[in-house]
Amino acid sequence: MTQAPAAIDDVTGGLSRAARRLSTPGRPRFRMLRVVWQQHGIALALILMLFAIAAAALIYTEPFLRHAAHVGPRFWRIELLQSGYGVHYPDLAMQAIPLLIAMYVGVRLVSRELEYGTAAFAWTQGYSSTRWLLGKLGAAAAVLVPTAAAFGMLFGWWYSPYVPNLGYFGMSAFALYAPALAGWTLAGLTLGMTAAAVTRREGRGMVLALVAWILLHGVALGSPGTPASEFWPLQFAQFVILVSLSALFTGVTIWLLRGVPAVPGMPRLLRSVPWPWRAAPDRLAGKLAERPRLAIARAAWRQHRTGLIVAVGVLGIYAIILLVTGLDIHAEPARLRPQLANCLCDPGQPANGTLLLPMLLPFLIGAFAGASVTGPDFEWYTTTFAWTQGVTKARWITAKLITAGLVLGLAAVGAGLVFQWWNQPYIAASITDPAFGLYAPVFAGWMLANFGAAALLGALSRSRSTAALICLICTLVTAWGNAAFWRPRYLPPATAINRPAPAGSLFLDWFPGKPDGQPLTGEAWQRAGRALARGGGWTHIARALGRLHAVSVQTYQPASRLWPFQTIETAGLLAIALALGAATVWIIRRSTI
Amino acid sequence: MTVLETSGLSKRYRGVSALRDCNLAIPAGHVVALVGPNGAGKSTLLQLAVGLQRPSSGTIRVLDGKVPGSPAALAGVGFVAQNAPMYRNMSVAGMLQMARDLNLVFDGAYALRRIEDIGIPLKAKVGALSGGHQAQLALAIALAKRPQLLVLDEPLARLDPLAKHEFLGVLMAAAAAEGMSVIFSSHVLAELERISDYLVLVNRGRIQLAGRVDAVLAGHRVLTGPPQALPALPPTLAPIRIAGAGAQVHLLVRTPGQEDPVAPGFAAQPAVLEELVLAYLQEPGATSLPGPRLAASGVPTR
Repeated sequence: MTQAPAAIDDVTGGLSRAARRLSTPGRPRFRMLRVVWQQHGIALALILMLFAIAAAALIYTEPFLRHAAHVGPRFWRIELLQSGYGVHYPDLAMQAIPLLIAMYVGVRLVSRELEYGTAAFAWTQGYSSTRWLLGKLGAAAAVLVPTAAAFGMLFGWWYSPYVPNLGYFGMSAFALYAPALAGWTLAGLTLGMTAAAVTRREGRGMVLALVAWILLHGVALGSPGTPASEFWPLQFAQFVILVSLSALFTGVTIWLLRGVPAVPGMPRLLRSVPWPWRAAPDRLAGKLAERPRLAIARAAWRQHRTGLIVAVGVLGIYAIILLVTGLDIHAEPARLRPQLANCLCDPGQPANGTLLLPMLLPFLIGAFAGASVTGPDFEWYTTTFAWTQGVTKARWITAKLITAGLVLGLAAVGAGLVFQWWNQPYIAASITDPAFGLYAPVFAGWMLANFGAAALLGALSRSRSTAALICLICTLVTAWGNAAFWRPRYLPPATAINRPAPAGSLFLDWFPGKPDGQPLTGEAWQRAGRALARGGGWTHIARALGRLHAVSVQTYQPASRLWPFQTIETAGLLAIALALGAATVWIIRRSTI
Repeated sequence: MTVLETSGLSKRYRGVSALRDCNLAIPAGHVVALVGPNGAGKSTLLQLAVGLQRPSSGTIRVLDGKVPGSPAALAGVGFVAQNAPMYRNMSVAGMLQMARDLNLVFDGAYALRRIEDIGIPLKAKVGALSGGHQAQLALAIALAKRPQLLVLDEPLARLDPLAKHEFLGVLMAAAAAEGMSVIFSSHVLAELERISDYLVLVNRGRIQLAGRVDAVLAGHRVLTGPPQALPALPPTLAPIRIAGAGAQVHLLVRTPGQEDPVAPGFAAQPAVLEELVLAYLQEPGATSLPGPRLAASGVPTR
């Protein structure tokens, strides 16, 4: 009989440990860290995983880059990326981490408590709203800021071979060194919390955080022309500025939350706005009298119109900026051409950011719109309403996907066409155009592929923000992989024998080959390779190789293949989007609440 | 016509049984109270009835053989879930239009009249309404669908006494006027007798009792007498629960008829619904359905 309690203790080990913890007098150490981890562990773990993936990529690629760095900057991009497009994606993805922290962790730390009403519980325990907020911020920052700093140091080690060629301010290096990255991480976290306190909603908070983040980049220091001696002073100045901004954001958040009752509901300011489209009772009676055409599509629009209007609005602002600047550009193309061509093509140029941001649009908009179609219905249990009305689950989700997909697809095509018009005077429509992803077909294709992926992930994870984050990670990595490795191989390459690849073509490879274009092997390869490496002009190279019965072979994709490549990529993306949409319908059809 | 019919219905969530081997056939035209303690399986049964869950085994059909969740079943069944989840960002007017768009039949004029009667502002956001108003809005939408069967999961939980009274009044009026069947789950025993004419009692995932309220009451009696006389109880009387000690014991028994003789020394009284329900809830093993069971009190029942 005396053994029984021990046996029970073994079986219910977890429970008894929890009971022991609860019965221990005093409060445990790092209690706020525990609370935050319990509440937001998945979000923090995903961000840490993101850092880990980026760190693994740096460690994996470092030996190749160190070798390439000795060859010189000219070959750096070729060896790293195999194509001119890919350069935009890796540093973009790494720079996006603090933004994702703002949108995913910062916003969630505050918005979910306000949205679900659990703040009413939290603020009536042992903490005031201010201590609760500071505790959460401190706990999240304790995990993320040191991680960001460690990653920044790793990046400094990874980038060091390029300092002689690209300088400390090349690529996006400045923002990824430890002090600046730690500062951006903290600023992202606090900015997200402020956005959540202003909107009191997760989705709106994320949009506000994104917009504010874009504006926040006005405080980015350093430019390619800055002397190297100013690098570290500027790093610490950047850190101090961002920490000061973080303190400001935190103060604003505390101030906003002190006057907020801990119950869910619309902010009073927004509630009092007399929206003109709200139906008056007499008009409403007429509207309710009969079921209109395309009723399910209308219902889908009604549910998602706020998000879709914001998405179309963002694309509209992008199009308006293009239209306004494009008028000048079209008026004086000759004067502005060299500047813009430089800005578009050179990753070291600061203005290159203007190209990076629109490239991110289809990913961000697609991911959040797609996740919003499926995730919130599960989060708010509105599936119990929608699935018990007169239409089946499959029809309802199909109508939502088609309606939102059509709106986003058309808006993306419109924005892409405006970009093509804007881009016209500068770069001839060539396959090497670094803005390949901004042409209408591919722009819309990526938007819809992200939309489909996020919708499916939302149906699986039943959480909008989790789905959007995982979608962004997956699609940005896929987009980079596609641009760097798969896109140059959409069609069999052309070869140039004993001559350089034509201007404007996408260079793929250069090797000594047999007269039929096949690569040499063995000893012949080594001897011909040495002849090739000596250089000395095409005639000299051809003669030197000719003595070895070899030729110079360059493989490339001709400049004229821009539109075939656009068609291939768009068709692939649309097929993927359709498959993901069908999978979403299948999942929802089988889902229960 | 049966509005709800189950056969061997079971539902498990990750190995934990919520419902086990439920057999039930509820005829049309009743207001059915689905009663049981927390975690008994009431919500699961209702969610299965409207197609929000799928059975682990067995079958469930609504409105004479329609599969829950199918287009035919969705058109005839209205549902208001616990806490009445709706689109919080929408205005009340927008929510009504949403419901109109999602249903082939929707009596918009009725819904609008109900909303105006209650005094819910059309421009208000659904998320900003009180819990009671949200429940009333959800009921108005469900009724405007003109369903043959209305399923309500804990509809009274968030209502104040006045709103509860009004809610039940609307429900009764709609049921009487339309011949609509209603199944609702509730903990509020005091209201049961007033509004429901059919009782289904669920306990620990099993159907413990099901039948018309008058028939159920007629089949039970409360006996009061000395404990020494217990062995002399006729075998036709099946005790559900024995309470009290000392000089007097109180028994709730199932009986073939109210006029049948009881044991000497016992006084018999008609059972009251609330008392009957409580007795069954306290004895999860007791059942009035076919098949012998052993009650928790150790008294064999049939």
